[in-house]
Amino acid sequence: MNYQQKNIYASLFTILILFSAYYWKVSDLYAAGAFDGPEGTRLIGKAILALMAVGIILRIVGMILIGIFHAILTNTPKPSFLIDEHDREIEVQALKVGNNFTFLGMVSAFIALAMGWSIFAVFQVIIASCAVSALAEVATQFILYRRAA
Amino acid sequence: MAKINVSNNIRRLRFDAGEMTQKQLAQMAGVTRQTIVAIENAKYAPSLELAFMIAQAFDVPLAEVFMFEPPDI
Repeated sequence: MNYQQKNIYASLFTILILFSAYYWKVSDLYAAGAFDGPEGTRLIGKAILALMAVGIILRIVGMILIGIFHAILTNTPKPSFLIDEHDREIEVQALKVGNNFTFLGMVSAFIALAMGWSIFAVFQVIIASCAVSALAEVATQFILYRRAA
Repeated sequence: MAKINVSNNIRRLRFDAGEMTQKQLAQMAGVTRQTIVAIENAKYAPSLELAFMIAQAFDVPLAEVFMFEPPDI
């Protein structure tokens, strides 16, 4: 398993933890009525900013943890961080798939807006499309590495 | 992925080079072992630069490592 393949597992770890925690926290806040009124949109903005910041931190932590576990399990004291042209090609193809899902999410959000859904619901559709897009990217990378093996 | 129309003799050349390992070849070409595996199994067509680096690792001309098979049109 090379550096980029380890990255896939780190991404999967990040996506699952991050979006589960986000929806758990946001559903609690929604049930408590925190998104109602003029303060609601500010809270949505804060929640999304927090999601991005925590996502970056989790990704770094995930990479370090997976690097350590992989080094221990495979007995490789000097792990390689090499990314080559094949890795980059797979990354680009996965990005294309991810972008398609993001685009679909955006269109869904506009449709929801046109149908009169609340701003809160529309933002949740966008966040959900980001989660699905990130998962689709990871799945595409996983499949392409499997096919190349 | 699109069908690869480039075949190669990497397995034979590694054997001729005293059973050079995929890892050794990867280090010489500056790529990961997984990429060498993909190229050797004709699952990935390398860039021209990488193809030359692989040929250089075996000290043979490029045409001795890679062969182009024109697609059926």
